[in-house]
Amino acid sequence: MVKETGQIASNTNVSLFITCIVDSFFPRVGESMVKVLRRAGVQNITFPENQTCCGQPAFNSGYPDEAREVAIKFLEDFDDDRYIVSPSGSCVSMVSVFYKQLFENDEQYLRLSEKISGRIYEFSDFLINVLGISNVGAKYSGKVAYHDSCHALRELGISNQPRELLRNVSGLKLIEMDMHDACCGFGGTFSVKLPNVSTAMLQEKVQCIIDSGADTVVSTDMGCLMNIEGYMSRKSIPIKVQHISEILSITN
Amino acid sequence: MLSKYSFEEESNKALNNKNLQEALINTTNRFRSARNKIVSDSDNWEELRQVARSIKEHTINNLHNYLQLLENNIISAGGHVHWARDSEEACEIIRQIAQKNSVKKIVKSKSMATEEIHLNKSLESHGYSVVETDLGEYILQLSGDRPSHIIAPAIHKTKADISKLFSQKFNVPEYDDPQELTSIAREKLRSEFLSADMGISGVNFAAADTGTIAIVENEGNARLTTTLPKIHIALMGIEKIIPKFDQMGLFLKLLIGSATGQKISTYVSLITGPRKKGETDGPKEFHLVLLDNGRSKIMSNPNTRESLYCIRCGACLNICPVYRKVGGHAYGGTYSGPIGAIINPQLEGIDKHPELPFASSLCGACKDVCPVKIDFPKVLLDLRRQVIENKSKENSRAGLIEKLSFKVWKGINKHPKLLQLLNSIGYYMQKPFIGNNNKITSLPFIFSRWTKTRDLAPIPKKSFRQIWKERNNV
Amino acid sequence: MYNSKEIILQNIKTALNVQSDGEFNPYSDFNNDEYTSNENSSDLIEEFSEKLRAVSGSVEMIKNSKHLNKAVTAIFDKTDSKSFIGWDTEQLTGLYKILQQKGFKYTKSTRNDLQAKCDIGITLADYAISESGTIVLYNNKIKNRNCSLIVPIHIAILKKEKIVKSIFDIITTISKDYSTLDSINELSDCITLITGPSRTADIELILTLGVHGPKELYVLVV
Repeated sequence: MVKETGQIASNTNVSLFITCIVDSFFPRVGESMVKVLRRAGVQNITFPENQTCCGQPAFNSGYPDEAREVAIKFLEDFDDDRYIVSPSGSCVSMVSVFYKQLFENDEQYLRLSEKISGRIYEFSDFLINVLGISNVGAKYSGKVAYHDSCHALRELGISNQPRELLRNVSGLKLIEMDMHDACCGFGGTFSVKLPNVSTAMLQEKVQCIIDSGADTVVSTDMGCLMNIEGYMSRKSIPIKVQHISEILSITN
Repeated sequence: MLSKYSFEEESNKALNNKNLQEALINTTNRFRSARNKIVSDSDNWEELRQVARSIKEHTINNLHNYLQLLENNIISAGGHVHWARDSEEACEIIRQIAQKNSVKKIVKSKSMATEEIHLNKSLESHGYSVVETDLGEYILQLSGDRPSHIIAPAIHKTKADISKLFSQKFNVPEYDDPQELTSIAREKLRSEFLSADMGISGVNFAAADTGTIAIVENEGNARLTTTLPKIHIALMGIEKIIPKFDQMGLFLKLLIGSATGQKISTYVSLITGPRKKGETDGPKEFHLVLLDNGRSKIMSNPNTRESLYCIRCGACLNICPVYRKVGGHAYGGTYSGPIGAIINPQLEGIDKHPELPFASSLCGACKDVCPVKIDFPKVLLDLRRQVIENKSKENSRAGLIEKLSFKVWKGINKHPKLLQLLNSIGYYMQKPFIGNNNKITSLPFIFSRWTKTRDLAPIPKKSFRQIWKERNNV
Repeated sequence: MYNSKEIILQNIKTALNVQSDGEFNPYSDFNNDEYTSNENSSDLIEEFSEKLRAVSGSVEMIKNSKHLNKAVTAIFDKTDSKSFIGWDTEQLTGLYKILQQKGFKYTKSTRNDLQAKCDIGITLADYAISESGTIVLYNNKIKNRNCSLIVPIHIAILKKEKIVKSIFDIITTISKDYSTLDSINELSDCITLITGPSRTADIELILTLGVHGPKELYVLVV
């Protein structure tokens, strides 16, 4: 089984789609992801250096033309046969699901979108469903509550993958918190367009994390985690906030 | 709708209303867990949803045919059918029926469509006495209030509020026991039912092939409304039609399970026309009023057409993290929650509700629970595009700033070197905003809306692409 | 001059981009019978009773007509009831005679206000649904609506063979009954599905019974 998995990994070519938030604000998340991929046996990893954004902020705000220009650039930047792996369910869903809506009137890019949707993966989904690996040899002593990011869960069906990976982390106790699949209130520009509603949603999410008894909250998306961490930091709540790649990268 | 209505302002009010917050949590939690149980007890819920959506899609795509079929069958059954292009016409049709029959008192059972056309106001201004008979609606009528939830319209009222209200209106002591309060309402409304000349109801579903309408309820007031008075008027949005009677089981199961988590409601009435010859009760006349009021306009946009599949169950309200915090009044229209966010702008105009399509984090939970699988996020995105298109015609300052921001955003994201430069600039420019805990604690302009309640992690010196470049000597 | 109907239909056709009034095929991909269970009614009595009791309805098994008379009289005594209205069907004539002999008043008036003053309404149940504890009543000129609606107590007599499993089963049953009719005019103008006494939770989500419909429901299964 290990041999098989190792063979899959060593034969897998990966392009990193780091995402604008991780690139600018949380590069350590990208570094962790690369570390885990290497440990899992993926040798051929590239970073298409022209990459920027998938276009989602403009698409979600009602500016399809601007979104399209940036999305076309994305399709060009990642135009090859390689797997694309990303530390964000939200950004992956933009490409694999919403590009079809964005380009519904443009046959050429619609076809490209359909093709690319078959090879772009969120990180935990890639580990489990492409590499066939559920134990990456990580260690973490802590009680972890997992927050289901909305797009990862509802557009990509990501729910079991991160949980399985976390369960196999030595020393980690996975806790299922109340309303684990409720929105944290980020929603991109929503968080600044309706900040009071956003904060009220966030308060409820944080309360669920606290009530679960966890000392760490983990998710697949830095948008959510940035939101959660921002509130916890302001309120001096000592619960750690970690991206799944960060937890999985810890070996001692 | 208030002339200077703002979703943000209304939602702020709602967030500060402690009673409302408690009521919203209790109500939505209760309905949500009841619905979850029905779904988990069912072994084919997903299949039923898909089938229902297919039927609705087909129905809306052939609506003109089904409406004609429905009319034919209702007339065969001895009923009358009227067609109303808009609210005014619907009210006018109903008033004319009332006038023709020398009606004085009207009893009503719960109907969102009658709210939509502001029927009570119209009838009352013409001298008719209109009595709401659904307990929640009755309470709202007595207090001059508007519904805050599709299924449980008076959840924002406490027991104490209601007790005081009844005491004031009926000159009785302030009872604490809900059973006692209910008994008072029963008695008061019973005399209204017995003296009413006309009953007005809504319609949950209408089967085109038999002319049968279905009315779902728990109290029995709809049965009384559609039995005791000599005239029954049923008001129905044109989209409530289903092709065949034999699909009733499917839709009743989905509606009731999704709305209240019951296997079935206390009463389901399947009504086909007025009383028949020789019968001693039931209305002598049955009138179905078909309401367009913007629905045919919604149909002309294929991206938002599925808004019309809605069967008005309220499940989307109960799961929506935004609705659960702001309640129904914030949506500034007849409908609230996710369904309100998509149809209020489409029925009343995008210019009247430019904020509603943005009153959502696009989490998609509504899509998961909708019994007819309406893709709310897709519809919301289309409406957002429409709002922005409209805004650019208006040339408002805020609109221009946002438009410019996205043009700048686009420019930056088309040029990675520019993005990198911006990162570096940002790293230095953020320094004055970083607080003692090594986090950004305040920011200017729109970003202050983030930092009001949240810290922000500062931009690190090196971005990922820089680190990668250095590590790989690229 | 166009009337509203024509305008609305035209608006719909324009919105749908319908070019011509082609042939119309009503939806036929759904077959309700695929969702029915066709379970034997004798297996369903227990479920029916359990579900109806769960929503505060009363259920009693009746052995014979003597037992029926006794059970109904007991309900009158228990609820301190004096008067009743009832379906004018020949199956119930015997019962009404017994009740009148015992001194209970049988109102045959068709006036709503007089009927509303009565204590009990007696009907049959045409069918029942076991999965929800529901009874199904067809109305016609001898089976009126008020008997199960306008009075505070409703007694329904149900033949156990008439119990079906689910809402899908009842739709099949009703459709079958419809198909035996000569014309759509003969459809019962009101078929009512009744599940327990009337209820509401509109006041702070606290459940109260007997809002507008009957406060008590007794189903006697024969």
